[in-house]
Amino acid sequence: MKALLLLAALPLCAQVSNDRLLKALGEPGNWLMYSGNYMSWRYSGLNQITTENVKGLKVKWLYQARTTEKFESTPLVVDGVMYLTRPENEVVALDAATGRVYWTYVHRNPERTFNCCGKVNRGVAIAGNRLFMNTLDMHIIAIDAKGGRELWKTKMYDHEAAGGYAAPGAPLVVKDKVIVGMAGGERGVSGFLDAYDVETGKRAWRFHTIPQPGEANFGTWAGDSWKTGGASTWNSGAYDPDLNLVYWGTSNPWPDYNGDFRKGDNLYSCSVIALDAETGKLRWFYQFTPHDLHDWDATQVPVLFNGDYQGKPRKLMAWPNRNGFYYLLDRATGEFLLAKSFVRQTWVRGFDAKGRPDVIPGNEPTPEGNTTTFPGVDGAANWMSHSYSPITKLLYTFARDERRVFTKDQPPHPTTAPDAANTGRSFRRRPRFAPEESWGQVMALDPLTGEARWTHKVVSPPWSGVMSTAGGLVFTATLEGVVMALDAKSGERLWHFLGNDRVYSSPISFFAGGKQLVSVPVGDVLITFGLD
Amino acid sequence: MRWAIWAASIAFAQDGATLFQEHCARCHSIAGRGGAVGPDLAWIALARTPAQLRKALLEPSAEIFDDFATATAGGVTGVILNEDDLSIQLRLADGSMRTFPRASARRTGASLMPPFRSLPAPHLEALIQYLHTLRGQPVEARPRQRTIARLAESTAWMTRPSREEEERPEQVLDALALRRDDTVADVGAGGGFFTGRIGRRVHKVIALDVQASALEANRKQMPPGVNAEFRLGSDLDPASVDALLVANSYHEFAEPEKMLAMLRASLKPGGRMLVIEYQKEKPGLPINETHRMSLEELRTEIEPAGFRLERILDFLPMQHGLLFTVAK
Repeated sequence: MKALLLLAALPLCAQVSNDRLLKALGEPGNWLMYSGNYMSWRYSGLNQITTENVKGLKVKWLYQARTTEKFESTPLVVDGVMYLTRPENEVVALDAATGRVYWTYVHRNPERTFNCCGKVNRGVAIAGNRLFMNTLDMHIIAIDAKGGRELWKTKMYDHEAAGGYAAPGAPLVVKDKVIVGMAGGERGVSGFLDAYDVETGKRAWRFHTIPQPGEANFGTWAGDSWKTGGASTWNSGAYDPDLNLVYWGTSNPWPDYNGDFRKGDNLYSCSVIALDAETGKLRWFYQFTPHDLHDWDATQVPVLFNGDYQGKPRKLMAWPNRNGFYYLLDRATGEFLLAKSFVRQTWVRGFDAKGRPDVIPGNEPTPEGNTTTFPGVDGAANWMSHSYSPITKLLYTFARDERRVFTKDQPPHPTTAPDAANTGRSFRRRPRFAPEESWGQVMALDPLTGEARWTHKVVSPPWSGVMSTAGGLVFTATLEGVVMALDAKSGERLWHFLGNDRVYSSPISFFAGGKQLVSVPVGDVLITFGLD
Repeated sequence: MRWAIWAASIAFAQDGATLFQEHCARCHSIAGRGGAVGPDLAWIALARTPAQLRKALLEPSAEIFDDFATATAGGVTGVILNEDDLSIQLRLADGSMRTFPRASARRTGASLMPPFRSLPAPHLEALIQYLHTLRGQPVEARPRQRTIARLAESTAWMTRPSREEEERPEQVLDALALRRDDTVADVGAGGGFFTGRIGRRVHKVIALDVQASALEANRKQMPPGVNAEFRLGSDLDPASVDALLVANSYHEFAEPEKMLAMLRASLKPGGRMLVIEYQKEKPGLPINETHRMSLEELRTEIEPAGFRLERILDFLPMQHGLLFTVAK
């Protein structure tokens, strides 16, 4: 581990080659993609900060984003330079050791954009000397990582179509392509996942997450419901270079809480899709929640790991889902291996051999509001990152253990017309119940069984993800802004900092100025911690 | 013969393009292609005359913009990107960004660009000729997205002591190339920051404004001997003026398209219009965003209304300055 640290301190070639992205684990001083590496581990190989010395962790610098929007960005760090997005769609390059700004790139959106849940962005991707940011008005933009200048800008889709499209997630670079998702599952859109040529900005492929007429599984939507079926792709994905497969989660079908006119399984909503990186062709899919009625998006980051399952080495995928279950899949074939609830759940009796849930009646949304179903609309897991540690071989997740209110309504036809009484939203947020019956918990799961090794309970269901480190720590933050480091083996809280504002992002760690640093956005401030 | 000259000049310019790639592209970009150490040169021909380009190539340190001031630190020199009491952020000649302790840094007052004195004269001329072809990309009309600002009534900002230094009115008026017998309209003249200065240069100045109080203030500051007309409203007579100054007012036009048509019609043959607006792109300006405009907004609204962009003033620290003529 010492050798790795030394390597990380050396100035490396500024170009982020494909090889560097593939071997991101080998340069723990940098944070080269949204989830840290292609397996979505959100794991840092740095071990300067340990269970022994974490008590001495202090604030080193702040970056003030000056925004009233949620600050959901995961920064990248490349050879001492941090690339961060701030709302709405600005990229900031700053010195990772001091937080001082080098340059800012500003993309201006029109006044009206249509993301469901704030004018947010979750970060950039890098390839070579180019950064990629997708925007709320459905552009994908390449920016010179040194100069901060725009190299190309491609319009992905009309952001005012249907009830409104947006692109808030972090893109993923795979070889010569940048893969970009979109949002709008609450607005009657038609989902897709796109790939663009990193050099030219030309679209290489588009995968429709709702089968088009003539394609397989087209018949899983009644009538014309496929046209407005949602199934967006609003978070980031993962990549397996050996299988050459891109994995991405898809959102709920539309309308969220009313399935009357979209009878059927509604493929490929609430699913994981495995696409050929070259062509965008579907290799396999698994639907976690057929005919979803609870807005249980499967837009979590796919965590890839290898392990012995029932005595045989397998290429696996771990997936704590919004619907309350932890899933283990074979990522080469999509084979369902197991599902186990990791929070309270009321809607499934069991699973058949193919992983289809045996659904318990009575959990459907009702006009007066169903208050007895677990988990709630924001799920057990949501978009916040999970983490996998190759040292403990545990999967860490920050779960929401709660119930909410599910109300069935009659959404109007989706539109973005400014004078429309309702813009096609069927999205409802209800207050949560008292902390005694509605809480958050950081969990360490055995990914091969779904058994919890430890649970660290907190007062509120969270919106922060987790990061594990080679120093034996798990970093995360609560909704109230308690930034904390837990012992990765026991879940014991070893250090905390009172940030005192909401946290809507996941921590990262990197090396700058001779120190291991940890950054996490709290409120509208990116706080960076380090040892003296 | 004319054709031969034209062909020769094209060949010359193409040669210049090769020279640009060879000598300039490591630091300068054209529409994002190239280095980011120096300014982008996509529309340098709109900002610089050939004589100015020659001077910039031979004596790069003679004039350096604030954004490209340099410092040395840790044995290297770079463009200053940011600084505080503890550290300084530099962009080095290879484009990379570095942070150094503030104490070790010293401002140089020199450009990072080397003087091109050893370039053979024909190459220098070819390069200049090529640079003088770079007029940016033509723009297309598109639906207006910005919010039209309410009329600004705060006079404190418009009478701030630093305004002359920051808005450089005499240099701005030089760009209009006014003649003694010109009639010039100051559109949205306000309190008269420009009106009196125009009046001293020309036969007649028309102060046009929709606010009577502004025209009253304007009248009070008018220097003696100036032939000034104070006109309340938003109309000028057709073919009545040689030049238009639209300074810090375009963003408040309630109906920009109608106003542009009126302004275009008001110009005599050979007339020109200079539009000044605070830059929307620049972070940290102490002005509400609706009272600022981006270069793209200005171009996509004004050019499709029958104007041709002739010159971009790039010496204003906070503002855009665009000189238009009537498009054929």
